Amino acid sequence: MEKLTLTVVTPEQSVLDKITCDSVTLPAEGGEIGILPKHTPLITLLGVGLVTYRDGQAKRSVAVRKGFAEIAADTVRVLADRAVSPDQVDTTAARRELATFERKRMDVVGVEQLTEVNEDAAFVEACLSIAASK
Amino acid sequence: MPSMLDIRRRIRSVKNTQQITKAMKMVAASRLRRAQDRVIAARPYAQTLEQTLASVAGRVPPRPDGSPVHPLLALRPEKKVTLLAVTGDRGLCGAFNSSANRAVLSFLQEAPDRGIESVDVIGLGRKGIDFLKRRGVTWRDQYPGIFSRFDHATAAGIAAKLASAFVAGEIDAVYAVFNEFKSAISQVVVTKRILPVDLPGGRSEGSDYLYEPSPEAILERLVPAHLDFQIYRVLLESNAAENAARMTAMDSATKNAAEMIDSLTLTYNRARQARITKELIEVVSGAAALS
Repeated sequence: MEKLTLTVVTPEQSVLDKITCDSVTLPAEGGEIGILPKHTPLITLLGVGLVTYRDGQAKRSVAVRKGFAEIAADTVRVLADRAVSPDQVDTTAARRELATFERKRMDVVGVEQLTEVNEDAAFVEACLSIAASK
Repeated sequence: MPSMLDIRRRIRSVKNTQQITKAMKMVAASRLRRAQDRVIAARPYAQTLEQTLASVAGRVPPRPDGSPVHPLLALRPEKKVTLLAVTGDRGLCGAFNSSANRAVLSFLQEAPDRGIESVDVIGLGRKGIDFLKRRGVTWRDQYPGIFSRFDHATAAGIAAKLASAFVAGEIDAVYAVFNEFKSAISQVVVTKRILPVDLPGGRSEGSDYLYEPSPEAILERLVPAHLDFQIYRVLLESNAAENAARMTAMDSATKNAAEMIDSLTLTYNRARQARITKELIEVVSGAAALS
């Protein structure tokens, strides 16, 4: 059976480098997108959430925060502003950060700032969820 | 002729200096490695970003009124310009800071000839800021000490401010003067236009992509991401170049110190021999006088 190759990079690091897998789920802006081999070439914007990839029974995720993905010729390339793999998550620091968002939401002015705080919160939550299912 | 004690003191002091320069060289070398690793780590992102940008830009139809597909691409006559002056935070790195400073000054001097009416400066790195403060430039922003700790988010913050000023028409172009890292022994000062954004060369790929949600929406996000990354790259390059320059400078300082120690030791030995000879003559002539 054909396989997909998944690469996740940020400006600072390469989180996943050419991982072979059967399927990938991406957190696109308009909702999740599932990618299987032989997918049509696609460029999509990503929101905040989990990039999940399956290989056989194994299922793993990395958390990403905004960016985009390019799918062509059974290669999935994810370019994220930030991305974190499970073993990079500092759980205690993330929990502490999560607690600050409630207060930050009170202080925001304008929709843009609120979205940003919400995105930050969603990213930290995503980080915690991958750390929990490690 | 200096006394033997004086020479010994000089030797000891030069040795101390040599130890310091040697340690600084080691530190710079390890920082350089880290800086180079970061440059390399950024490469895959850069490649994919440029390819995608080129292919998306080719897909977005031009606007009917002839305006560019993204506000950050707008070419206007350059009247109000912002200059990013990128230097190091610390000295002792050869010509690194001074050559960047010189390039900033010559940019400021040539600006009126190119029809630029006003230039304001964003100082990145303490050395350049201190230097330009004495020259009395107009500041837009100052980031002293940025190189002790910076990441992509730092660059994105600077980029966001520039982008909003550019879109609002406050500035017509942004240039950056920085040291480009060529190799461990060569750094070149370059002046590069950051805004309006130059789209990477139009190598339009054969495969027809599906765009989700639309090419326009993707371009909307990609162009600022490209700008963020350009500024991040400038910081990375300058950081690597600074450490490379410091390593080379400290290496030659260590060598110079070694040379100096050698020549001082030679003088010291000569003085010692001369003293022994003198003492011998005294003993011999004393004995001769007795007999």
